[in-house]
Amino acid sequence: MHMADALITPAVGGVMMAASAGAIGYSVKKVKEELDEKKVPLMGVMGAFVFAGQMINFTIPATGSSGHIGGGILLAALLGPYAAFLVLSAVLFIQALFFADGGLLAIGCNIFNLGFYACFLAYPLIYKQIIGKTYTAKRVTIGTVIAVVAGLQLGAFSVVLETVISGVTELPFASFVLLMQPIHLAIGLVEGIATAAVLCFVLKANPTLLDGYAAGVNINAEKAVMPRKKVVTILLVAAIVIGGFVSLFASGYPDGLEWSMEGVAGTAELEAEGNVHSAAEGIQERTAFLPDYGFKNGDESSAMAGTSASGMIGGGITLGVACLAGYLISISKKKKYNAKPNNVSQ
Amino acid sequence: MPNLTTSLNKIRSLEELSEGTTAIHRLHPMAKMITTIVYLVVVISFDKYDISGLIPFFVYPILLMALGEIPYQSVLSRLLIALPFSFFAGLSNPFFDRETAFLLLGVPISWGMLSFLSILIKTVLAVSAVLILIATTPMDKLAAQLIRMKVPRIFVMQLMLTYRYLTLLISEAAGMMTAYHLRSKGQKGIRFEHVGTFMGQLLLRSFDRAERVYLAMKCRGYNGSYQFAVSERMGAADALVAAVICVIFVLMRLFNISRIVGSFFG
Amino acid sequence: MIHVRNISFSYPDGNQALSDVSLDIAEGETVAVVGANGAGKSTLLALLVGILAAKEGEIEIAGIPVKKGRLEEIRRKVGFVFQNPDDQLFMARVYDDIAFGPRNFGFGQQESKRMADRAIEIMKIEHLRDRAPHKLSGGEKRNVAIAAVLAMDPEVLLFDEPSSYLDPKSRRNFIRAMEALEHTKLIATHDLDLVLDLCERVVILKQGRVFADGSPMDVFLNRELMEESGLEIPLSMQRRA
Repeated sequence: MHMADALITPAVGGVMMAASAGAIGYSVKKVKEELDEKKVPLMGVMGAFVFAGQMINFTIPATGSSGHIGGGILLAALLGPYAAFLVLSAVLFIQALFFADGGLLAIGCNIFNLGFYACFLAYPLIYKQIIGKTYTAKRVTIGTVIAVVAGLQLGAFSVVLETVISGVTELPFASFVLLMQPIHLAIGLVEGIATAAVLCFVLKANPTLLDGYAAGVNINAEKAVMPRKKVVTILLVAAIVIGGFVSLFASGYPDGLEWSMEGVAGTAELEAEGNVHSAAEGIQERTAFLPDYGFKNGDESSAMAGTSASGMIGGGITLGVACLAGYLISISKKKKYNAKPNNVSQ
Repeated sequence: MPNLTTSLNKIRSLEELSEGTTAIHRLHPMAKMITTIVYLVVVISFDKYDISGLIPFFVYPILLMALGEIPYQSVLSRLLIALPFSFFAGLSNPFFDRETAFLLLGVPISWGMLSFLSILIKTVLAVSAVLILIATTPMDKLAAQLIRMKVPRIFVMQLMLTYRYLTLLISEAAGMMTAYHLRSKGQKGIRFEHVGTFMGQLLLRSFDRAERVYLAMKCRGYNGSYQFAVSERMGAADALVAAVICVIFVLMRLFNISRIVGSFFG
Repeated sequence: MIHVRNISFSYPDGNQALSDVSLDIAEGETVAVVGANGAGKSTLLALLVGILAAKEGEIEIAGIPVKKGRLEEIRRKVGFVFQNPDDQLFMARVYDDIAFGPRNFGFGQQESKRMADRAIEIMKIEHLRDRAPHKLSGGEKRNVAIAAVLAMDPEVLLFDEPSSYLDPKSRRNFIRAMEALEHTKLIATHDLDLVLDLCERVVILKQGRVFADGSPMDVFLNRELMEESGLEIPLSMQRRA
């Protein structure tokens, strides 16, 4: 779900960066207020944990596919929402820099999509409400699963909005949404159950590690293990729900859901384009970075420039010259190293 | 998600690269950050059908990777992660945007194909630019620069600590995975019913480690404030280089270089 | 220099780690604390630097009582080298780890640099200055950790299992480095040969109490004593049949 730079416009990237920066600033303030010195090394190590944890694949029963834990709700349940948001932001930053997982200009989008909704909406409004003051395995599980799913749904929807408003891809709003939401519902369920399993383990082993836990509340240690049957049942129910949801939609909007490309390209796309795209256009024009180009939908002049013969030839030549230059530089560097009596670095 | 050992290697190779001593490495981090950001903004600001205008922007990664001695393979491995999402998102373009733009050797090329190509090119350029930045700037210099830019210290500390303990955690997780595999029936990944205990163990170990790190910090006087080396001011030379490069980018954006070069040839 | 009076400590889970321990260590002494696992060695060190707080008894180091409110002064005087260097080196650059202490104690950039440079010189790790700690070998990490502690110019050094994570050569280097340091040193260790090389005095803990206190030769040659303590005589003193 990490957004790439190529799929957004500078305007969208900039707006989301500002939003995320604001959220980070606020979180910093809140974490400092807690005056808990121990938090900082804990947050750092947790960041590394989540990072490594996301690389561990587990197999999902009855489907043969694999999944992995996410981070937002898990971190929030252990560190509290503000610290969790900071940790996630740092993790996303490093992912973008070191692994090209998400673009650098899109970092604001990613921090918001993957961090904000989980930490500041799903965690306090769903997880904490369900837990209340009683930390039982059942409540933790239900709270976690719903919170994770909700967070991912909001995040996925965010991705759709950012992509469509940017207008770089031709993905029509309706189809994109109908693609993203169910997929992330499934992902959310898997991630939610896995996260719940981990939190239940912590609940049993050392409940004081959970954010907000106070000694002397109800815990029922026996129910702390997630039985396999329950997992399969949940997945089955989810599949039925998704299937039902989709078919309901299909019957209600036959045009919008025609998966044959002609159908969507012909009719539904224009309808979808109507509302969202004109709104997007409005935003774009008002926030355009370089005033020359607004929401181009096949602008003639620049397209001509891009595709004229001279343009193509010139492009090829420029590229060729660049490659030649790069090659020559590398050769001269190699010569320099080979000329050294003790070949130190290579 | 990449698996543990490849990720470890990726980080290590980047760390090796960033310790280099080429001219690019010696350039001030601020200069590199500025040029990278401007480059990214300019590249993604290109209109979706403008291919030839984008092509000259390959000069930046090609030249800098040669000067910075960054192997081309590193770009490829990172593209493997970045391209799929762009690819599939962009695939919608040729489907929906079918009007023919022109004929290439008798084959009709649609506008959608052009915008699809544009997305792919932009992805390659963006990924390369970020790689160049990180492969020529060690993490601690980056952090020092962020401090200078008044990024909250507590956040920079997060970046540093997460980065510092990342390889350790990955190694620990890899060790646990190996032990798990040797006792399971040779399947990939962990079984679902073991997720809780496996990840839970790693989590508790991480908590213990964090506790020890905290104690180590306390024993050396840590009292909640974060003292860092602050990056020195960017020198005039570096600032000039950055400024010139950025101006060039903007000019390349406003004037289609490919067309200019091509006009000499026909 | 170090005065431990009737210290008792038990962990929250009920484990009585130390019972009525008293100990005096003079300035410049290099003392080993040995004992079976669980005997209380690490607990004792932790108490000395205020990581743990004893419910009963007092500790005084360099004239300063080890108690809440004076801990910052204590930690200026007492350097603690942890068992696992990875826990102790948490910055991204060796130099930053070494300068961490001085910077925290309020010395400016310039003064911190001077103190860090001095520590680097003492431990002879100039070549490691710009390296990333997580990429170093066990021996190199160990040396950097010691330098990080030395940078604050302490009077007392505490070591928790210093020869763990070290291969034979690094271990030898560590011993050499220790011989050159004149600080008061307290070393908790299983490595009895290290004790023979470095320490003029050894204290045996058994089940949280001081069981023996004397010179290494006297203590180690006493077979019954060693057996009762759950220890074996140093490898270099054992004879192959």
